[in-house]
Amino acid sequence: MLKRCGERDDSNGEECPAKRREFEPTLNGHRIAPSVSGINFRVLPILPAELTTFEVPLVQFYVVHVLQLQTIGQLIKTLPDIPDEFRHLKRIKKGMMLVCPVHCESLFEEAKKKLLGLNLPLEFQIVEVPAKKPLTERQFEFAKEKWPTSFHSMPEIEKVLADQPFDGDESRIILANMSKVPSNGCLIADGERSLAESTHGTMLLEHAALEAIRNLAKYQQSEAYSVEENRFAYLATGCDVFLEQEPCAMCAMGLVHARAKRVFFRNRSSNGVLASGNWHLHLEPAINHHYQVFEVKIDNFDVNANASRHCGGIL
Amino acid sequence: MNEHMETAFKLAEEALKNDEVPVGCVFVCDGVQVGQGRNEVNASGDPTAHAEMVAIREMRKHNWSEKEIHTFELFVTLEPCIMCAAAMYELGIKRIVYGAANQRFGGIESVGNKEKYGAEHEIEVNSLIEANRAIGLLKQFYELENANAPEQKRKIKKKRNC
Ligand SMILES: [Zn+2]
Ligand SMILES: [Zn+2]
Repeated sequence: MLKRCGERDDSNGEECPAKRREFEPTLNGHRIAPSVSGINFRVLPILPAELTTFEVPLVQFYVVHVLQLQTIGQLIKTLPDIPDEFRHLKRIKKGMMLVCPVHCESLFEEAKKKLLGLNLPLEFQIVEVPAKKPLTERQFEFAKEKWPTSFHSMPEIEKVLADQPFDGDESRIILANMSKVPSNGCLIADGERSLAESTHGTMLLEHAALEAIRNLAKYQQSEAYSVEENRFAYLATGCDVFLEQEPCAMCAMGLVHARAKRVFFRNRSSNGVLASGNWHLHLEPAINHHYQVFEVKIDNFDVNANASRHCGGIL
Repeated sequence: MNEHMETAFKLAEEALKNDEVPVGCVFVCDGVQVGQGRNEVNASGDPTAHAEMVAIREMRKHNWSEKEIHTFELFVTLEPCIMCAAAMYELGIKRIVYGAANQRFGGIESVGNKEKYGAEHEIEVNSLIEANRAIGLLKQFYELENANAPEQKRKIKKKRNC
């Protein structure tokens, strides 16, 4: 297979990164310190709006005021079940009990009739409550002010939403892996250990990510693999993928097929499908495997006239 | 039935016999079959070894001119996945004829489409010309695959709506 290694990169005139890498860590031809300290380095998660928003949508509900505490049990038995889509809501808040959503008119009429039949002093009111179960801690903070709701914290998501999603050690590994990416290339790593890499080739459709996946497959089929790895891995399961360019649809879907866990890219591509404003293939609900996506910004190394780059090389 | 599609189905059947996802394809240039492929993911361990990619990887050894590639027609038993469809838009082939829609990964219209890829090239598309035959093959494959898998227990809950 023909590789472009050794070929000059038009944007910065560097030579084969594979050769050079042995001597010093570099990033796009710029020398970087082997440690993270001193490097202004940000890793930005590319997440769906439903996770990044601070608020959750609200919906109107009828509530009934409980005027006598001892009647709660009686009321609960009489009230209709809360519809499935609102099962996250708790029934009671400070002397108020949820009846049903305002838009369920017939349900309310029926419930009202039954409640009035109890011959208790009752007062109805309309309140706004969270229409969706909060997905993040900050959405939960917002939602619980409106009405008590259930919430299950997702540590993985909370981690990437934080200002500093990665601790020092993980940052160091990400930066080290990013610095090992060949020019215009792709690297697949299991933690600190790189498993496969590639630049883009000269033949049709030889984009870096697809070639790296193929190299990983070759390595996993080889005898060396069973000797060196004391575990059996399925494709890129659990692996991180590092790319100089945001992947195109072909490469991004190839990484889905390979079952990558996280994808890090540095430069946006004109044919990219992961960055904000583009398709967000990694968030497409129809697709059955989802990897996390991060845009890596490293100050002083991004000014590189890369603006018109494509995944797959310079068109 | 179209002779090229018939060849594609023969390849899909061959894939099934080899425990691969039964998808086959043929590339045609000026009425002549110039490339063919079938899924080889399991044998190669390469998750990108879909029929279309297998065919292209063989074909690209010959120096096809851009002008020739623009006349290529692809006959494939199943709607190409997003990866393969995006590849066809990048190559800029003329036409795609496919047997059945691919609801999970389809990259022509089911899940992905050229607008999502930012592709400008237009490809002529003829779809669903042999849907039953293509789906029948896939069903056979998944039935074989699930034959030994444990039966999934599903909780059936009464749905409450208003
Ligand atoms: Zn690509
Ligand atoms: Zn495919």
